[in-house]
Amino acid sequence: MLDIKGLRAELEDGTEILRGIDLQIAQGEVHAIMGPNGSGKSTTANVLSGKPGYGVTGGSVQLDGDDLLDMEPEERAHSGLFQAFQYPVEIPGVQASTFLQTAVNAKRKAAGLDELDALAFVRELRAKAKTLGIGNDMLKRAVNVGFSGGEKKRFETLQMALLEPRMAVLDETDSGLDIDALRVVADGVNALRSPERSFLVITHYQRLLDYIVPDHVHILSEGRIVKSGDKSLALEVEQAGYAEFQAA
Amino acid sequence: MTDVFGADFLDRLHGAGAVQNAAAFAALRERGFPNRRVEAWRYTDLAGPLAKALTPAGLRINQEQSGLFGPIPPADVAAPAQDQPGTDALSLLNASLAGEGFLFDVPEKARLKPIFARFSAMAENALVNAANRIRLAEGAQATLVERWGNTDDSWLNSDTDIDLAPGAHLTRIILVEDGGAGTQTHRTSPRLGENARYDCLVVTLGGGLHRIEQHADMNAPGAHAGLAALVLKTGSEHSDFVTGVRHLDADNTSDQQVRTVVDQQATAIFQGGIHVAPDSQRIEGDQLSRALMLSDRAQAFTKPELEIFADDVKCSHGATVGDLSEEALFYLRARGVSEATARALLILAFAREPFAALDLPEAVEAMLDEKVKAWLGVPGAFGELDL
Repeated sequence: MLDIKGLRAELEDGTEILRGIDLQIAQGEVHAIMGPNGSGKSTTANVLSGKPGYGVTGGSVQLDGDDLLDMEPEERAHSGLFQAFQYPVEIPGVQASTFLQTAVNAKRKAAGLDELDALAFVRELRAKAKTLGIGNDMLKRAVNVGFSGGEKKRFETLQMALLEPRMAVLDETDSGLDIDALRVVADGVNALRSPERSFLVITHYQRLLDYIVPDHVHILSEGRIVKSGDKSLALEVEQAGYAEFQAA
Repeated sequence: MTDVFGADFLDRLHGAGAVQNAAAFAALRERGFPNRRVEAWRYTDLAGPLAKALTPAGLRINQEQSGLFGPIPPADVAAPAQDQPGTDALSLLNASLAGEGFLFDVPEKARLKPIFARFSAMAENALVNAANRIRLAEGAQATLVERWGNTDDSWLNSDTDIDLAPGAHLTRIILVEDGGAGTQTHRTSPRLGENARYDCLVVTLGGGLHRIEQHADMNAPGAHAGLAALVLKTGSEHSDFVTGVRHLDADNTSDQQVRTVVDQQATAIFQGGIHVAPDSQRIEGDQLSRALMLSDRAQAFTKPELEIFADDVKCSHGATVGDLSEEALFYLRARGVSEATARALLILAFAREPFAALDLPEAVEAMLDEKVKAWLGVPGAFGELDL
């Protein structure tokens, strides 16, 4: 599914953030990347989705054999990649439902499918929004504008449910959430787990992994994966902290 | 005679026997048209339209039947405004050719459905002058949607005199749209009585040169003027939106909102004036201009002009110029939306700001929406879902 080899990336000012990441995620697997602040967790997610502001200086990323780094952000989305953002962007004036319909139809069009008409889309939207506790009121508001932290993360999860990615990257999905909101979002994510869909869960805290239980856990430090293990590694880090993985 | 700016143009009009009002024409021949050394005209050059061979012609008015709206009887035509420095030449031109426009006369406490009217030249490559008048009696409420435009080189020049009696509320949409490289110069002078409200949105699209002026006189407490404009310009199009709100009495408010999108080598100017007279206390006057530059060769100018002679006043002005938000663009693209579609969606949201803020009838808002979408090349896209 996702094959990251020797990935190196820097910021526009030349600061190197990723120093050779190797990571393979097979179909249906859930991997977690944990690491201290500044270790390159969000950079990894952003480089995968093609966010401007980063320069890839080495390595490769393939999604089902296709070169991901060679694609525009929208092409990556069409290939089945989805990033749930740590800080979803507010877009004043663009109604949430219009945004969702535009995104779903763009992806369908790229896949050679007919666009969903308003009626069919609203039916699907309502069903999926309901399970995430998202009402019409929120869908009528502008994208992420005036949304609480929990609403933003639920809205990201709704986008994921509608776009049905094969490879979902969740960037600090737990940040800014209280325990109830975390549960709603985790339930939404877990409902999307399937043998066809893989997840990369990026988090600072082990807490999220109590709810979204990973198959594999990797520790990222200073732009490299320094240790990999099963879910018990997350608990270990929770107890001992990241100090042992950081250079003195 | 001195060789004033536009002398040839005036001589041609005279030669064609077009002059109806000799006194107004003599005054215009004396002063000529304003050139770019006149501060109010420093960004806009009338040389282009004045060089064109245009034939004087009448104004064609198409509108839904209404007893309250129709061609103006000559006796109702207002005298040309003389007190706006630098701008009166076009009003004199209008008066010289005795242009006849429309009269919209709304009786006391009337509540009208929106009135839609279209205005164009009666001939091709014409010079059309129109003097219009709008009167709302006490407590009347009306929405008037005006669409002005041609598909050739015609020049539409109008003055609209507006009288809003106490408690009257006029919502006015002026859609200035040219299919060709035409010229449109429109001036409006509303006078607002106690608690009267004037909400006007100007939308300017296409054309060669458009200059729209709004000069509102706030004559009594409780009045509010909302002057908004949406300027969408591409190619070598030129738009000059000019406002002048005069707070001549205390306790009233005004708000000016301008959104500009300029592409290719288009030029858009906003000259926003707020004048607060001595003793006009407790005035609030706000002004915000935001411009989106879609090309390196496009130009947007904002010139706020605030003259405040009273001390208990809250006035603000702000201007931003920029491109679309990179973050918002990326967010949309990361969801699979193409860059072109993402840009269109974001520009539409920006362009909607001036009219989304007005409480417009659904049909009017839908019409404006479609105008913007057509301009963006995405007609019919992004329809609102019925949730």
